[in-house]
Amino acid sequence: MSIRRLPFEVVALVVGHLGLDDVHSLSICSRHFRFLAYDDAICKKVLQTASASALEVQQALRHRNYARAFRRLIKRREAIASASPFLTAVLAFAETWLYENGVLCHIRERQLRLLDVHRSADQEIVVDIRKLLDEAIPESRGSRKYKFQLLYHACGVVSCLYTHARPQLAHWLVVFNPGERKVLATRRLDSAYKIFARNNSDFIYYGVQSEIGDDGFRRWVLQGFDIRKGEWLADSLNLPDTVGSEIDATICFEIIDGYFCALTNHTSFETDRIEYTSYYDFFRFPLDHPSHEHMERPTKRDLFRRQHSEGPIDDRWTFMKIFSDELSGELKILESRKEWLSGNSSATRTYYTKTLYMTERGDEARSSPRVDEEEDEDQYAQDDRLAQFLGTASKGNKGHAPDRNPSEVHVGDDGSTSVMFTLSKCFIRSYHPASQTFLDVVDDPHQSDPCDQRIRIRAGTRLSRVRSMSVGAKSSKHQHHHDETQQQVANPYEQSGVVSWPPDARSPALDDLHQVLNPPGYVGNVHGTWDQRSVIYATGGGGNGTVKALVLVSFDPSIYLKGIRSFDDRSSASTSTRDMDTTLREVQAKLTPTDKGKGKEKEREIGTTYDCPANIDEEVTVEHKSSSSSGGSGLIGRTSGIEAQTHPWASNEPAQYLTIGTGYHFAK
Amino acid sequence: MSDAKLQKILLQSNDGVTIDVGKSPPLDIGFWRTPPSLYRAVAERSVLIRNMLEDLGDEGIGNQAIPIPNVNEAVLKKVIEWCDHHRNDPVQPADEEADTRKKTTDIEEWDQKFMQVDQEMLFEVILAANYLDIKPLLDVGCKTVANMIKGKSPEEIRKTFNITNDFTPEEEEHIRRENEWAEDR
Repeated sequence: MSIRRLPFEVVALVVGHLGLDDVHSLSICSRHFRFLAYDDAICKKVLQTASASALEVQQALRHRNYARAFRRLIKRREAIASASPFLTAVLAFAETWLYENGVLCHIRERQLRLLDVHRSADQEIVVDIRKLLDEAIPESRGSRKYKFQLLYHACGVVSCLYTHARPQLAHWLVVFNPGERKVLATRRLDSAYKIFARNNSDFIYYGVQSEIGDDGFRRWVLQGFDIRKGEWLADSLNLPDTVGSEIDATICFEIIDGYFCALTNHTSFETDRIEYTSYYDFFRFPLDHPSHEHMERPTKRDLFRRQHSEGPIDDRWTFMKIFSDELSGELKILESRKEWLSGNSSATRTYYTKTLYMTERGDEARSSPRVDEEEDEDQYAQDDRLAQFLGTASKGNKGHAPDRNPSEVHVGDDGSTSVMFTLSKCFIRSYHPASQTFLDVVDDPHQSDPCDQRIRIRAGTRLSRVRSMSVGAKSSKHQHHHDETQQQVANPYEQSGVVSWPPDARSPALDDLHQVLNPPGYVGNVHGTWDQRSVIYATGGGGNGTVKALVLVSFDPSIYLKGIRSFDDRSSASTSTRDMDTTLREVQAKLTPTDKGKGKEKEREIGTTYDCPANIDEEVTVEHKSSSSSGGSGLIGRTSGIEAQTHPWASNEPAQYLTIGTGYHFAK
Repeated sequence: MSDAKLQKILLQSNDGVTIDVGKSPPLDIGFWRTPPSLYRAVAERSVLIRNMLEDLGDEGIGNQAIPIPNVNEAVLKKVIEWCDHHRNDPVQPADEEADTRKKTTDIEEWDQKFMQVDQEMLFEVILAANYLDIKPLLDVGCKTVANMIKGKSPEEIRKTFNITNDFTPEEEEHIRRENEWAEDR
């Protein structure tokens, strides 16, 4: 009698008590158990209990394809942990761009194009910006010089900032749904300083640092819009105590589960910090009730961040996120910090996560400002000589550090274990809690050609010791020792070594891949963004306003871009860099949505208009041509067969990547 | 629960052994002290037997042994031992889907000890519980197996359950890297 003889219904019951990784491990034990990864009923059970918040599961709930969602989830996490993407491709050439919630929004020559990357779309929605503005902001008609800035995209809704300088400087928030060809809201803004926008399908919020306090520091003000009712919420919400102004570095705003959430890693505008204890500040409020009375906060103890005595910190490397955990569905925060911990000579990048439990709400939280049970320990002793040197804020932030949960502290690599990259060569820094993996996009030139840009992805993961022991030789081969930091948190995890992709070797195949990741003629000025399944970066374009290549590296096995070839099946003859450069330039010119007959100088001049906020007062003449809603000349021929679009400012066109045709997939 | 008119319940294993639920316990346990009035409660931990008793009635059964064709003597005694220990447990709701999110693999101490048997017996008990429709015992058995799998790598699971890896390296790579493109693409 063996486990293989258990009937299906019993195996299903056993699996009901297992987590996602365990079911996956069982499913690849032998052919007999492989059915586990293909049975919708079993996979549904596992996903709903082990990973209900993941995008794959949300999509499976709609399409009822749970087994595929299970396999996608597993493969995506493994791909991230092993830095083994499933696809890379040049998606577009653009002047400015934004990648949010799986949709790439990119602008070139007055055209905004939206490509749904998560859904592997082969068409893009193309928005004629000038015509959109003519409808959305009548005051903007005839304006020949303006700035159009992408702010956010979610649930098919795009938020943008329109600014023109004449007759006088004026800002408008423009919110529209390009899929439904509908302008949802516009609002003239007195200030657009540090503007951001967030939305879900029901509400839009934007925030600006428009208020200036008595101390001279700027304060955030939020304003909401109810999409369902089509009206702005009555009152704006001032945040006089919310510190931090750099989005995703010192402050984060997100909409999660019907709440507007804000997180900062600073709690004081003052800077005189001696021997301080640092706390996060977090609050959230329901989207339909933007008020201090409806704010919820965790206790201060739960918001402990770090103590000054832990070591110096290099704030330039810090990034933060608020997210809903894929595994537990819990609200969590993530912060990555580069610190010299415990007097180490080399800095370590550590990834801290923290689960947020809301305990305070409304008036009582404001009347007793979050000191509750920690009040006593937050005070300096009367005879503490240090106290005389401290400002008010620092005194209020003296406290005892609660123990950190090892599962919430992932110690990354440091200079003692691998070559460290400078900040200017580490373009994307990310952390993927579901995979327990940090992932960087870096410029790592080959030794044979140190001046040639070589984009690589480097990833480091960790396994719980129970699981890592079983990985055996593979794990021990790469094992690193971060003795001091590991001991600090008595870590039950084992670090794997850092792996890089593409491999370091040189070969014709890897040279071809190199040209996708570093499109010839588009090097330098790399910057990018990431989500839990892909990274997108822009490379090339010496400055704002010039055209960059947008490169996707996807770890999601479900993303397929039409026409992208298999890396294994690529033609044996590799393309020379010079040929590739020429080809890409020709393609870019072909994709340029301008009227025929306009010179290249003119094209570049127009291009700067959208991308360079500082140029708003410069004399740049923008001539608004009556380009057809079906797009530029380069694409007209390929739009045949697509439904005729008569809408004044939006149309559908084939995605640019179809024309560019540069990329590989690595799936089997 | 009906009045225990029938105080003597006989079960016959597939190897032909007749076991008196009240009088033929394994010697290392104490349920021989079970009062005759509770024999029925022990037997009725099995939904299969309970339904049979209800369908046939006490007269219908008489002194005949109820055949349990899928379970041998050793396993049947083991199952009766469990039923006796849990004879007073409240009946669980039938809704299998109830509160799946709160499912844990915590097993109470007595059950843990009870399940400390070789894998052969463990799987036989699970199969018997499944056949006899004793959901709490089935649940304990499944949890025990789940605990033997949890946190283990595929290789460790194979070792634990003596499973042969019948995938080729190419197949393993294919499993890991097979695309999941939508079929309607």
